Amino acid sequence: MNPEVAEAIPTLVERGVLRAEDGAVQLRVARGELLSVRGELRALWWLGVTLVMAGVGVLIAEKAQQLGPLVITLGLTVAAAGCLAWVIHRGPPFSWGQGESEAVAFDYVLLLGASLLASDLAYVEFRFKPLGVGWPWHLLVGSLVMAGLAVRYDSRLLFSLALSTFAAWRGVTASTFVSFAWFTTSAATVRTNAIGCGVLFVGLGMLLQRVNRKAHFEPVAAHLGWSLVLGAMTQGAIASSRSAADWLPWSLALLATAAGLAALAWRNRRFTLLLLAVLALYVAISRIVLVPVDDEKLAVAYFLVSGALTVIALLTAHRVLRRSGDA
Amino acid sequence: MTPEHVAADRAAQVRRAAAGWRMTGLINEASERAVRDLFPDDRVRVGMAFRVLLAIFAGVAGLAALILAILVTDGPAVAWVVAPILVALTEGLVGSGKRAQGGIEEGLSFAAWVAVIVACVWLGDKGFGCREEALLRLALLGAAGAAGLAAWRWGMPLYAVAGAVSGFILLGTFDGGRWLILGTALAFTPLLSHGRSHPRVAPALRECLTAVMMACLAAIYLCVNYYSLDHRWIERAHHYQAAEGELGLVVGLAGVLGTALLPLAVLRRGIVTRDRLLLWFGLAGIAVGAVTLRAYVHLAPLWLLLILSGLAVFGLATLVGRYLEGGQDGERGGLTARPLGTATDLGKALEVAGTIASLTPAAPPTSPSTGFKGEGGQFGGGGASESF
Repeated sequence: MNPEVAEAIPTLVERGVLRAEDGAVQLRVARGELLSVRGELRALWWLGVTLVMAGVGVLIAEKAQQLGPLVITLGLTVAAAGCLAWVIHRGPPFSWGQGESEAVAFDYVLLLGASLLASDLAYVEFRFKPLGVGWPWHLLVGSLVMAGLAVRYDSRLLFSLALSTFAAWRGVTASTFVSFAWFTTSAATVRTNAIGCGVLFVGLGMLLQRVNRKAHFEPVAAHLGWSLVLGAMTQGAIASSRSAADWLPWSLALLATAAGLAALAWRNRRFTLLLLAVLALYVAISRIVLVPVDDEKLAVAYFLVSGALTVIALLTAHRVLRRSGDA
Repeated sequence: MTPEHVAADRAAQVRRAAAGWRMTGLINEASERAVRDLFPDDRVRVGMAFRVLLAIFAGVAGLAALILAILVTDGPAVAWVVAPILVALTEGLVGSGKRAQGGIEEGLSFAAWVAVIVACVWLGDKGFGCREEALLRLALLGAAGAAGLAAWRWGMPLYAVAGAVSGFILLGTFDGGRWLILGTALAFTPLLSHGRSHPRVAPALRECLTAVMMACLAAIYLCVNYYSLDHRWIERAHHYQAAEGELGLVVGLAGVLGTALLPLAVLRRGIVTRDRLLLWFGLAGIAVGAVTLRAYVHLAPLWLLLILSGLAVFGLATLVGRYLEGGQDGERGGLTARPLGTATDLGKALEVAGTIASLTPAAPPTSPSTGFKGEGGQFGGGGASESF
């Protein structure tokens, strides 16, 4: 319910800002007489997919011996095929542009089908080991299949899962990303992989935009890519090693990358990327500045001064944006 | 809130609606500009990214000022000086600075709120000689009071939530805290429900009342949930030892009924009144109720329960969507599955983040010298790693 909007709509219709038929609908929305539950339905579909996939995971973990590999493989294959058959039947014609299926649940049936197929691949690989020691390659196959389906059926949701599965193939996931860096021997490898994946995703996004093929997938690739690059460098910079040889190169790399991203994001007016860049820049500078500081008062004073200076810099930047009409 | 602030806030509501219409293609850029001209907003507002950054760094600077003052003066008494300075700065930014949802005032007011809590603790400790529980109550009272004032004066919903939560925790520290919380929340909910839709209340204050109502509904459910009653969650937070013994029949039955019926009643009310907050609360309550049931009754193996509930949720959403689409003009009872010009990117971003977090397969272990090695896999959604 929005009384201000309800009061404004007749004026807006009268002045021709809003079409009469749209005005009538929006008036009902503003008066609380009409409510779209599209967001709630999407949330329920998403929850349904997540619960089913969690159940499949538990089923295989607990009942693999009892059910036998054939039943599990067949079950997963049939379920995935069922979902994907519906998707193929109901899917819109292919287009390189942005399209939307008539069925609102389409995206989620596709997500469920692709996730079941990936689980099927993983189980087959685990049980029958067709790839032997190269078993992680099934993640690459899964990622490519998902990417193909995402492009064919125009699903940004599945595209994001394809990218994160690709990163998982290189050893990078949200959970390992949080915990990998500190003291494990594989930290450097995973960090390098994360940066490699990030650069690849950013490059892929740029390519999609340049050739104008599925250009609306670019924000997913860019945000995931930059998050991986900056996250990995931040992990390297803040790793609690006393040796400057360990953290200083990462801090300097983070500083340079974040500064570059800030400039790029500023030029293209991409403010969520700017947010990431400014935070990473602050972490890099603080890491370098605070190392020689032993006095706690001086350290706190640093946060006071640096915080205030950053606020002033952001205000100045925002003023420039307002003047150019981009704020 | 000053009358100028309220007037600007009302204009901002229309401008925000126009931005939503533009995003869903109901109006074009020229029309949105016309709305901006018709409903001028004299406040300095910033976009979400700048708002987050300004709030973080203003908060860092404000909190650093408080800590530095405490370190320099060697005691927290200085919080009594720092808090008014930070409040005055916030007031200046909101008043003569005409800032609204601008980040800086939000960060500084947060530091001021922390300073008030520190000052209350110092006063209780040094001034009144309070110990432990009394000190905690004084801190909570200070937190609730300061947050309530901040919400009322500056129209910031975050403080409304902070104030309500602090208040409920404060009530929980007294004997019979559960019933105090329940009684207070039940008494306030109808008033809040009325106030949050009243046209004479400023939009920002309506948001604050909505935030408090959300806290009240959550508090009511926490009080009547069977698991919370059985495990004496609220009582244990107060007196750990006092939480022994079986639940009485009446209380136990009330807990069962409350766990099952309250979310359904709220959901029904949400559907009838077309209230999004109540819809979400009802759905979340049903999910919590199902988890509570699972904790006591072994209906089926976990895997079966997860798959069946997933399919049920999926099927229910599909049925509801079809039912609504089948109505006249794609709506029934004032509810529709059509988008109505209120789309936001935030929901889609959360969906992508949730998908990546929950459905991405586990990564294979890595070794710096030999690259990937592994045997087997683990299902974390769509992939595998080292073990089943």
